[in-house]
Order: sequence, then structure tokens, then C-alpha cells
Amino acid sequence: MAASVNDDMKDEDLMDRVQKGDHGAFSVLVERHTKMFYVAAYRICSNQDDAEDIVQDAFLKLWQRPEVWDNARGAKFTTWFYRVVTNQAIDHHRKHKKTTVSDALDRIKDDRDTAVDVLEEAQKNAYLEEAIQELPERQRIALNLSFYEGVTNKETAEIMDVGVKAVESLIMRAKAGLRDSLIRRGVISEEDKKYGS
Amino acid sequence: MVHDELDILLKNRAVPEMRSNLTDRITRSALNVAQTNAVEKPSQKKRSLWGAVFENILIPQPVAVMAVVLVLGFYLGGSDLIITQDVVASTSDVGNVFFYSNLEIGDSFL
Repeated sequence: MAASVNDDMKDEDLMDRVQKGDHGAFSVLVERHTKMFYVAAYRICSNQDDAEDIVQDAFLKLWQRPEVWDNARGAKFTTWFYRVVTNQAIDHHRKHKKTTVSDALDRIKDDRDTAVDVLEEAQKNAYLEEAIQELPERQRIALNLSFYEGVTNKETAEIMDVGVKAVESLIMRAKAGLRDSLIRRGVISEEDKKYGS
Repeated sequence: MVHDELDILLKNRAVPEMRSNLTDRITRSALNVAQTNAVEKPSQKKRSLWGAVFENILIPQPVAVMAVVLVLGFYLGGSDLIITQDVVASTSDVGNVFFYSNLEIGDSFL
């Protein structure tokens, strides 16, 4: 009889079980990674509902067609699934273009007090969000993965199917672009350009 | 160390919390979705192969019924031939068997 699923099992072993129709193993994977992939999807599409739908859809597709995961390739499950979620989020983002500053402000206003400094911070965040959305797609993905998701540059390179040097260059260009964009909007000072470059 | 303002902004970039029931929603939805291409164990494959053999070749009921009907048909049809055995016995030419067996009363074959 097969051993029962437990929380200590590696993702790749859980995937083996999912491929045999083990719903318990699938639940452990979902519990373990939903939040992480939600954040990744959110950083691309900047919309809570969309990010949740993207993650749900990606997991359900994985459950429906688990054979798309090939353990023999030796990739890490999370690296591979980042690619799945990221691609889905990009497709979604291309179809339903982008969050406006007012959307971002509404979202922040809902969650927090309306003190002036909080609003100022919210406005800065909204501009940052807008500037990130304006970045070229590959720069945005590299920045999101490396800066936020705790993914190493090497893993980001695997996810994006490029070399590590290319990832470093994309991140550098993304930050330079953001800096210029935020200086233009008056969110950060010219001085920052000196520190950043 | 001078902190880059942009880095501070990026680090503080807010992401709204996902709804707490998202994981439940996903696992519950999966229960209603059939796996279309789950990879089978070799033993399962073997069993399902035998199942396919039994289901499709050995016990297809309509085929079995047809086979019984055919056997009965041959048997009953053959009984006509048995009736004409004396005719058959009277000739050594097999072709004539059919000629003789199709004779009706009043026919002349001479």
C-alpha cells in the first residue's frame, strides 16, 4: 500500500503522486505554494481577482493534465511552475491591459487610514506600480522574480529561458528605466540617480 | 551606506493579501475536475490492458449472441442436407447433390 502524503514530502515527489491521481498530494502542493504564486501573478497583472484566477487556473490545469510535468528533466517544481504561472499572467495581462493609478490608489485607500502621509505613500506606490507596468515585459518579469520572489538569478534565467548574464542585464535596465520614470514623476529625487548608477 | 530610494520603494511595494479561501477553492474545484491524462503505474497499465482485451474482444455480448445464432443457423440449415443424405448416398458426384436436393415433386431429372 502506498505511504500517506505528508507535509515534509518534496514537491517533485508530490507531483509523482498527483500524476497517479492523488488528490491529497495535490492539496499539499496547493497549500504550500498558492500564496507564493499568487504574489508572482499579482506583480505581473496588478489585480487581485485576476491574480487569484490565474493561480487557480494554473493549478487546475496541472491537476487535469499532470503529465505536463516531467520529473525526469530534473527541474525544480517551483521553477517550472513559476514559468507556467508567469506565462499565464503575461497572456492575461496582454489581453486585459493595465491597472491605472486610480485603481491602485483605490485599492490602497480601501485598506488603510486616510492620513495625508499614508495617502502620499499610496500615491508613490501607485506611481511605482504604473512605472513597473510600463517596463518592457522581460525586464518586468526579471525584476519581479529576482527582486521579490526569492528566486535566484540562475533560477530566473531557467524560468525565462535565457542566460544568467541576460537576467542581470534585464534587471539593471529595469531599475534604470524605473528610476528615470519615477524621477520624471517626482516620486524620487535626481540624487537617487547618482546612487543607483 | 547610502540607501537607494528606488530600492526602498521596491522593497515596500505592496501586494494585497489573497483571499483566505483561495486554496480551498482550488482543491475543491479539483475534486469536480476529472484528470484526463493521469500517468498510470505499469501494473495499472497491465490491468487496464487486460480489461480492454476482455471488454473489446472476448466478451462483446452482441458478437457472442451473433455467434450463437450463426452456429444454430448452420446446424439447423445443415439438417436439410442431412435429410438428403440418401440422395447423396446414391451418387458419387457431389455437384449433383444440390441438383437432386432442389428437385421438387413432379420434376424429372432423367
